[in-house]
Amino acid sequence: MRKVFVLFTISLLLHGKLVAQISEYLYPNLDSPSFSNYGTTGLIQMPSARFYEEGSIGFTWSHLDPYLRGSVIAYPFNWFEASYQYTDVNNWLYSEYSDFSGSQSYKDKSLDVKLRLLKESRYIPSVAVGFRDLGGTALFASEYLVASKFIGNVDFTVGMGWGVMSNNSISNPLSSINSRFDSRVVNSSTGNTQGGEFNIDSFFAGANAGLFAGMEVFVPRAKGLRLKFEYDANDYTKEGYLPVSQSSDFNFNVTFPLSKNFQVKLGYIRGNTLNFGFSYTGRYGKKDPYIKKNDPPKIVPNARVFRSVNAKNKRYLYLSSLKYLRESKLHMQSAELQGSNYAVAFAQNTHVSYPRAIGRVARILDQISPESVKTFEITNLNAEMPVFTTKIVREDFNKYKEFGMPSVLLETSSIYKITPQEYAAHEYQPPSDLPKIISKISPDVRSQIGGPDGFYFGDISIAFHSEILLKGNVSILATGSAGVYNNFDDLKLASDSLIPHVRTDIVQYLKQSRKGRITRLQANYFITPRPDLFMKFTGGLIEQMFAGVGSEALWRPFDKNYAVGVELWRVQQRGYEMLFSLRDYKTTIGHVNLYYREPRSKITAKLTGGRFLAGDSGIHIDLSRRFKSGFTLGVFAAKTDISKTEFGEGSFDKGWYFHLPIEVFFSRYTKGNTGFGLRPLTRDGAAILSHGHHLYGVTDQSSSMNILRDWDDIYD
Amino acid sequence: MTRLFLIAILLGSCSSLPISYKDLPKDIYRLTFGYPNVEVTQGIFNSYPYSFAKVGFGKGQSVIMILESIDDNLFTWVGQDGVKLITKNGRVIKSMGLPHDVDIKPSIHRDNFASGEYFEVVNFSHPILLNADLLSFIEFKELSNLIYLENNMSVNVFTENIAIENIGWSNENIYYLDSSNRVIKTTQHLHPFLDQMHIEFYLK
Repeated sequence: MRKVFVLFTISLLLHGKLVAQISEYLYPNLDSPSFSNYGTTGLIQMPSARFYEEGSIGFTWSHLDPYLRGSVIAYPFNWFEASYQYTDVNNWLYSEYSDFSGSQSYKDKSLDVKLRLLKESRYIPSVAVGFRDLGGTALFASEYLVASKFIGNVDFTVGMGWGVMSNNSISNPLSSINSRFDSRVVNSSTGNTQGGEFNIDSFFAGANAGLFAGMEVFVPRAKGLRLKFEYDANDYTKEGYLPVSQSSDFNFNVTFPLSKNFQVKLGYIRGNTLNFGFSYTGRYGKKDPYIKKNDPPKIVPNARVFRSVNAKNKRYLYLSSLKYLRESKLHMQSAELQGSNYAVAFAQNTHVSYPRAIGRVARILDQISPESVKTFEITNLNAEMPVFTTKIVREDFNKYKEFGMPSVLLETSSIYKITPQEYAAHEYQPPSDLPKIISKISPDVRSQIGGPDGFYFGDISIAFHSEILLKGNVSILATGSAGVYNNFDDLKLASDSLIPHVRTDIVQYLKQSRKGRITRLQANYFITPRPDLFMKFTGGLIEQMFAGVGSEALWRPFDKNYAVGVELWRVQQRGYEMLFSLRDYKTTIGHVNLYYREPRSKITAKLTGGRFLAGDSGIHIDLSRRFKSGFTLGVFAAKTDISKTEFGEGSFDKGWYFHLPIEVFFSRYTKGNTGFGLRPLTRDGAAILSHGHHLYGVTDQSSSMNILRDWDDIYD
Repeated sequence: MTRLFLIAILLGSCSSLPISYKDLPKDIYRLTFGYPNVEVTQGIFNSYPYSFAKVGFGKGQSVIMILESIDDNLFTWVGQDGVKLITKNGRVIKSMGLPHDVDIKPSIHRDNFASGEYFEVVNFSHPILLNADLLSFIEFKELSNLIYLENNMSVNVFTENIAIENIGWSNENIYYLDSSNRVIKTTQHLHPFLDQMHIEFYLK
């Protein structure tokens, strides 16, 4: 009897597993949540407790009269969703002054966040708390608590909302805890704000709370098709500027994934309105997220012959190392064979992952070095600064390569710093190929979004980026652009700033530089007075709006997860045409920069304190998280000693950005990033000088954490 | 002087475009329309010392896989990136190293390309699906011609309709057999999450 019971239990468990396995085939893309019309993962109008995996970024667009909404949604963690929206409010004018904004409809900017409180398990639903439109005008402001649970092929969601989501009312249960929750007042209604601030006092407040529920049915054998039904808690009399008619509390929607990442949807909302939308989500958190690399390490032909010849004369070894490393775009700067140790210093501009570059150097050295060489001492250089050295035991390198065990190789390898003098003392110094020009062409898009003149103004130009290397540590960084197309003719908004116009003359810069401009022409001189201390001296056209001279120093201990930097600049504002003319405004600025990388969350915090371009003083904080692929998500905010009135609309500087290595899109390894950043409003307060070759970036390799982060790439 | 300097920068830019942007139009074209089909010529065929297969998925670039071994009519093909395919009479019955692998236990009643209906068992990976029932229906389709090693060759075309009912997946595979009943070309669906696979076999 007991045996029967055990067998029955096992069969039940196995059946459950098999059902789970089959479901992934019956319902493809089950792990790709869909988005609501508000630009967060959810049902139709209501949110859900679903999240994409960390390192994902989504773009959604939906049309639901009277609103058109475009959103960018980021997932810095598995449990955190942040989305930024532009909503075109078609039943309200941008302003009542037609000579200011014409007949343009109102454009609302909003920020939503959602945090997961509980992860779904067999009996427990996923539970999340979210904030919709949590700052500024709060036209759509709501807070909600929501739970989602898969039962079979149906994802059920129930929740409670506050603010706009308070239809289907019950009295606010939080009122019994504290009278603060009795009434809801937002900043925009008091007139005591410049916008851009969180309406914290109104969170979860109001006389009523609303209930909502819904389900997302994954249709079997239908290539991922979903049907959504929901009971809507939105009170459309509270949303936007004008009430929107609602004939029903029930909404319906069909969502179809055209691919794992691209979804289209069609819905019937409020019992009277058709709705259409689409979304794209990129998952960039993992290594080689989309395109597998087809860029294998170089095989040296007749390597056995090389090993034999190189054993007779070490000069042959140096020359063959130079040749075959160069063929792999790894540029040898010095070498020395001493006993059984072969030391090589190299520079490269191909691999984002430093261990991968080291591994490729080691592979080539292994193929051509005589058998007597037992260890490779490989030093990575950047701007003639030796950033780190890796000593690898040759036998171990080959042994663990065969088994694909980079972590074991790490145990037998050592990573440390050497002084510039040590590498300069190497026996073989190949003839310099300097001066040389490293250059590239790329498209360049400048955008001005959401202004009263029109929703989108932009130009596209061809940008020419050059770095002229005069010496290993002396360079000229130049970026010039030739305009191709722009729609700046109707862009006319003048700055209303009360403080020096260090950024708000952006319209003048955009319009007057549209045919061609020099974005940067910056000379740099780098030195490393001590192994962990880096310095840069810079002069020229430093950024698009300022020219000048200055210096930056950075102390970055190799084995630590923090760094400290200082900067001092004397700058003068550039002419609007962005060539060589200068305007009258001059200033001296200086900052102290503190960097800290939290090892568990992998968040890098940068705190900058000092004097900013408009003469204001304060702090700027930047938080970013980098994923395995190199994809980086970041937010920033700044507060200085100017008043909200002086700062103007937005109250304080803030924004977000993401960077994505371009190699993600290609089958070959290549350095370089693409990305996008947005600050809701361009203001003059807390403006930072944007100089090229910031030392923290230049010395990225000078951190053992960054080497260890990518160590498993060493055999790529 | 300013103009000269700008020209120097611009010329420098043109002379050494980074591979990423230089190849962008080509890469976009390939992603949209696929890679051009490189025909295996007699010269290419002769240059390989071993039997090989030209293998590709969807619009992706084809790769060459070398015949590693033949054991009990099971042909094992290996690619440079470590992918292995095991074929039986031109049909892939097992893959290793693909993003989604397949392992088919062929019906013992299956007699090469004799028309009929066969019940088989299949395992998939990523996600795992064990012991799923695979229904395979084979029939002769037509006599046709194709270009093979630069020659116009007459071939027998067979279709195989496959279905795994409990996951709602079905597809059609096509086999082109030469006069000695060897599969020289085929298009097959290995896994619900993989694009159609196309193979040309070049045996020595």
